[in-house]
Amino acid sequence: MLYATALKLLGVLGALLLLETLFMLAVRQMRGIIRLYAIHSLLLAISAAVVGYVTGMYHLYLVAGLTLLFKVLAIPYSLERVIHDTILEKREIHFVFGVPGSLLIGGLLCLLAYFTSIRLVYPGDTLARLLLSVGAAVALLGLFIMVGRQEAVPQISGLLIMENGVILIAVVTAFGLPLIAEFGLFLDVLVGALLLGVLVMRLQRHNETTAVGMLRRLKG
Amino acid sequence: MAELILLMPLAASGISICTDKFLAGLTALVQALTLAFSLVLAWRVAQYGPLNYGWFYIDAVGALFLLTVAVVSCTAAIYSAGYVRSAHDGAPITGASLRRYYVQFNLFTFAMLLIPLLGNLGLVWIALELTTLTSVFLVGFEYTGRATEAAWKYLIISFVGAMLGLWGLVLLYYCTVHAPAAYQGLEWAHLYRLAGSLNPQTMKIVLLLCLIGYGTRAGLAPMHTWLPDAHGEAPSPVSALLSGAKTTVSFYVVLRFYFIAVRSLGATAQHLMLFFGLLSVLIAAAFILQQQDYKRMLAYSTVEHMGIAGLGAAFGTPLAIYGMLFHLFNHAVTKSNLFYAAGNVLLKYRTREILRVKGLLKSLPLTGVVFLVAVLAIAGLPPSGIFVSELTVLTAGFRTYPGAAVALLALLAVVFFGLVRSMYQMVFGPPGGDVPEMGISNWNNLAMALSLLLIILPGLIALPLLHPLLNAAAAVFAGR
Repeated sequence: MLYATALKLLGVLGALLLLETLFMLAVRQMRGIIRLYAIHSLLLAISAAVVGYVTGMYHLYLVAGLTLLFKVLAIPYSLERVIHDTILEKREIHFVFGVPGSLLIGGLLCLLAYFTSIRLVYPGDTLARLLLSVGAAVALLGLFIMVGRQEAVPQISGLLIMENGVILIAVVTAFGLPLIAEFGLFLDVLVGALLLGVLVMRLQRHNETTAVGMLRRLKG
Repeated sequence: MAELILLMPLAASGISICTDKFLAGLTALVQALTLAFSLVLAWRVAQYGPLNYGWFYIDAVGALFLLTVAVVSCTAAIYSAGYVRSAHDGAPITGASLRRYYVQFNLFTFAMLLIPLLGNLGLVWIALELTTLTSVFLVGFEYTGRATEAAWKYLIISFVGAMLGLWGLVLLYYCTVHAPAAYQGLEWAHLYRLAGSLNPQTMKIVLLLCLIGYGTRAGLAPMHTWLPDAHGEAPSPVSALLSGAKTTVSFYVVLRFYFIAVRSLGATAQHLMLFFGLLSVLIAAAFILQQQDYKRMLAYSTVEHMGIAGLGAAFGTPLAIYGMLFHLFNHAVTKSNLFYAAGNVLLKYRTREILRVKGLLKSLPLTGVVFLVAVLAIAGLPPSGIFVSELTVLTAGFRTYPGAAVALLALLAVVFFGLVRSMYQMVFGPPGGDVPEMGISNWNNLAMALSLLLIILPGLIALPLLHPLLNAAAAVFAGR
C-alpha cells in the first residue's frame, strides 16, 4: 500500500520537475533562475529519497542528502554571491529565442526525450517507465537553457539543470552504481560550479560584462 | 608500480604548495621518473599480459596510452622549466604564481596518468573530469581577457560533454543489468566480454551520447569549438599537454566505449564513427586553410588528427586499429613538439600572427629546423612516425571503406598545403628588423630535441617496447 503511494508520489514529483524546468525557459530574472534551481534540486533530492525507499537501496538517501547539501544550499548560495558581487541580480537576461519560441522548442525537446527514452525501458521496470523520459527531458531542456542564454550565470544554471536531469536518470536506472562514483560526481559538480563562478568574476573584471554572448574575440 | 606512478606527481604537487624553490627542476625530475616507471610497467604488461588488482586494470591498450601521456608530460615538464624563466611577456614567473603553476601542472598530469590505469568506467569518468578541473586555470594562467574567455569556454563545453558522457555511461549500466548475462558493474573487461548480449536499441543511444560526450574532450567535431581557443591561449607547455596528452587520453576513453558498441552494433557503430571522423578532418581542413594564428592552426591540426584516428577506428580491421593506435602516439609526440617550437617563436616574436613571423631559420636556427621538420612530419611526410601510421590507416581504409579513404586522402592534401604554406612563410626569408633580442632557455631546446627524436625514430625503425605493445593493443580491440 505504502509502495503504491510512493510510486504515485514519484509520478507527481516527476511532473513537477518537468513543469518547473519548462517554467525556467520563460524566467528572465537572474536571481529567479537561481532560486528555481534550488527548488529543482530539492525536488530531485526528494525523488532520490523516495526511489531509495521503493527499491530498498538505502545509499540513495546519501545521494538525497548530498543533493540537499550541495545543490539546494551551497551552489545556489555561491551563485547568488557571484551575481551580488557583480551587481547583476535584478538584471534581465537576453534570450536568443524569446519566450514563445523557447517554449515551443522546449515542447519539441520533451517529445524527443519521451519517444527515444520510452523505447529503452525494459518491460516490468515501473520506475524507469515513470521517470526515465522525465530525466531525459530535463537534461535536454537544461542543455537548451544553456545554449539559449547569453549570460554567464544563467548558462551555469542551464548546465546544472542538465546535470540534475542526468542524475535523475542515474537514480532511476542505475541505483546500484558504486558509491565512489556518486561521491566523485557530486564533488565534481561542486568544484565545477565554483570554478565557473570564479571565471565569471574574472570575465566581469576583464570585460565589464558577463554577457558571454558578447564575447567574440576568439573565432575561426 | 601503478601506485608509484600516481604518487609521484601527486607528491610533487603537494611540495609545490609549500615551497617555490627548485620547483622546475623537481617537477622535471619527477616526471622523468614517472616516465621510467611507466616504461617498466608497460614492459611488464607487454611481457606478462594485463595487470589487474584493486582499482587498477592495465592491459596493452592502457599501457600504451600511459606511456604516451608519460612521454608528453616529461617533455612538457622540461619545457616548463624554461617557460617559467621567461613567460609570455619575457619576465620570469615567481612566488605564488610559480607555486600555482606547478601545483596545477602536476595535478593535471596525475589525472591524465590515472585514466589509462583504471578499469572501472565510472572511475574513468571521474578521472576525465579531474583532468578538466585541474587544467582550467592552467588555460587561463596568463590572466588576460582572452585567456579567461578561453578558460570559460573550455570549462563550460567540457561540462556539457561530461554530462552527455555520464548519460551514456548510466544507460550502458542500465542495459548491462538487464542483459541475459546479467552483470552489475562498470569494469571494462567484463562489459567488453558480454557486449554481444547488450540490447542494440539502447547501445545505439549509448554510443551516440558517448561519441559526442567523450569526443568533446578528445576534440572530435562538432564539439571541438573549445579546443582552438584553449590550445591557443594556454601557455605553450600547457598547450602541448592539452594537445598531446589530454586529447589523446580522452580519445582513449572514446575507444573503450566505441569498441564495446562495435561488438554490439557492428557496422552501425562504424558508420557513426566514420561520420564524426570525416567531419572532424573536413572542418579542420577548412579552418587550417584560412588560419592567421599559428597556435590556433596547430590546434585545428589536432582536430584533424583526432578525426584521422576516428576514421582508423571506424575502418575497424586489425590493421586499421594498429595504425590508429600508432597514429595517436605519433600525433602526441609530434604535436607537443610543435607547441614547444611555437612557444619559442612566441617568446621571440611576441606575436601569434603567421604573417608577422619571418626568417625563423636565421633568427632561431634550432627552433626553425625543428619547426620545419615537425610541420613536415605532422603534414605526413616521411621519414616520420606519422607518415607510417597515416599510410597504415589509409591502406586499411581502401580495403573496407574506399570512399571514405579517398575523401581522407583529398583532405590530407588540402591540410598539407595549408600547413606547409604557413610554415614556409614563417621559416624562410630574412628576419624582420624589429625582432627583439631574446635568448631561448636550454630547457626549451632540450625538450624540443628529445621529442624530435621520437618524431623521427618510429618512422625509421620498429621501436623495441612500442611495437609489441601496439600489436597486443590492436589484438585487444580487434578480437571479435
